[in-house]
Amino acid sequence: MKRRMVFILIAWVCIAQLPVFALTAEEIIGKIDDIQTFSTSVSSGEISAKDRFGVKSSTFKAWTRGTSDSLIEFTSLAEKGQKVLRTKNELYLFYPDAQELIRLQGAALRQSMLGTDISYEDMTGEKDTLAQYTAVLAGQETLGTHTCHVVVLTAKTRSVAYPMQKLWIDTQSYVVWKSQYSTQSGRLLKELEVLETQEISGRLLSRKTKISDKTRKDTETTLTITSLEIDIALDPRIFSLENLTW
Amino acid sequence: MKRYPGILLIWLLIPLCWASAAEGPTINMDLYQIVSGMESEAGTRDWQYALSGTALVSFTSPSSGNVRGDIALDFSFPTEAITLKRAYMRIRFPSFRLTMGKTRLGWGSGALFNSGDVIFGSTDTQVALTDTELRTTTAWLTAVNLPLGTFSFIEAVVLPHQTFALEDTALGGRFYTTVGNLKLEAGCISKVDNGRLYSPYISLQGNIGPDWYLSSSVDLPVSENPLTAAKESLDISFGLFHMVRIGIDQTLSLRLESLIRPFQSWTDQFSALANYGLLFYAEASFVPDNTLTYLLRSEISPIDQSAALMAGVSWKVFQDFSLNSYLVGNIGDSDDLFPWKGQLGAMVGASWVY
Repeated sequence: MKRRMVFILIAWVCIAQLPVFALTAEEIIGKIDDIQTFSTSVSSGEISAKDRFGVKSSTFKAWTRGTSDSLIEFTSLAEKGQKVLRTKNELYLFYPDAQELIRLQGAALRQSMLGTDISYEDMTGEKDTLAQYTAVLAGQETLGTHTCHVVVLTAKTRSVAYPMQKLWIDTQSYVVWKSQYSTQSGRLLKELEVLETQEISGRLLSRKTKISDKTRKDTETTLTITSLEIDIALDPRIFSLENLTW
Repeated sequence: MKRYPGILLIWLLIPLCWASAAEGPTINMDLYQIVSGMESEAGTRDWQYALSGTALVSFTSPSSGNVRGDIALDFSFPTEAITLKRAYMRIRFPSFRLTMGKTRLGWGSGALFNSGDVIFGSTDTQVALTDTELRTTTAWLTAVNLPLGTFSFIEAVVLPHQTFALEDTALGGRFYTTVGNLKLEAGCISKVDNGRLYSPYISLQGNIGPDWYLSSSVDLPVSENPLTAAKESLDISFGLFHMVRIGIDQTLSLRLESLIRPFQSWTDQFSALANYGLLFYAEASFVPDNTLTYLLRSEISPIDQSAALMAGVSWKVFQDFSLNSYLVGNIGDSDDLFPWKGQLGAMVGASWVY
């Protein structure tokens, strides 16, 4: 009887653990993408690059809609009033001093913002990591006070910036606390750490993120989202040429 | 002509009304140490040293509400000349937008050669290759912009003539839209330049791997045979632009533009003032990180085999502060479009925005 109770207890413990272990890497990545996918968003933030000469900052406001539409307006002194409107197939740049409207397509769509690690694609709503990467669950690790899934992503195509990614994903909140970006051979290039989070509409999202360039000494970029609203009603004219050149 | 100062004062005062509500002036200061050498007729080289610069003081209204404006004064050293670069207000009504004042309208496409720019003209080669923006001419104008959809609009413009004679007023309009992946822009301006003439243009932009853009315009004088005039004035600008990501975060931008004037000279005219049928503009910019930019620019005249060259590097050292250095020079005989004349220039300086 005693042996039977022990067996039942072990069985219950195993069953209780089942949902955690049953999650596949694809399901974990799918959950992250779901959390980071918004129908619309309005945000403002600051990008700060630190090197041995000090800190250089740029501030911006951003509006996003659906999978591909975004409008970014720079508010910092040197770039004030410069705007970038990105749609699925086009990138429009507006320079207020020259009243110049430039339309770009092709490779320009994949460029980074202000020479940072943040691409225009990162600013838009929908994320589809699994379309570009194969995911493998490499176990669990504790990062500070957070228990994390460790998922390794390997690029399916050569069109992505990083052939390999290693992610530390909170088992409860699905916050990606840490990411490492590497070459095919495993050489570490960049490391991303979430320093602060904020809860928006029931989702825990990063507020302050540090990006360290592992190929250069004493350089790091910090992206701070100072305000964020998601899934709100936006005037469709925000994503028009009329608003871009206003 | 007596009316001019009065009108100028009114235009200046209007933007200054909301300049007081502006977020504070922005000053963009450039200062350069210039060392240049020129070969004298005796064959010796005369070296000169100068300190030169500009300060653009801009009062911009806050970026909110339905009325916006900007007033910008350009101070040049050592001439100590002050020019009014911009002074305009823009009003957003529910269905259209009104712009009044001294500003620029960007018609057509192209960094240096843009046949679609029928308002200001962007086909000459008299530009400073060290300038960030190659075409920045502004003019007093009134424009109405009527949106027709997300990526389409009609724009009408009125520009007073220098004489202020009503009959010499320039009038123009353009239509801008996208058709599939193609941008289509077409318009016309009617202006007085040794008699009234009409300058229609068309401008297209698309992507074939690199982005491409094509513009063409003609001047059709009312008093002359339009066909002869069209042949004389026809010009076509064509450009390619491509950005290449190198490694993780390094960017190489390449631009090649050409200006084709089919009915101008296609043989060497042995004159620095010749109107050649073919000109090129090439630009390569390499950004290895978010602080450094290497820039190469060249205007090329293949018919007389001359060129203007500029090589520069810009280093963003501190917040909104950059150190810049440029080397400029021409390659060509003394009677070419870009004559050598033994002239070389080196500029080292700084830019600061505060």
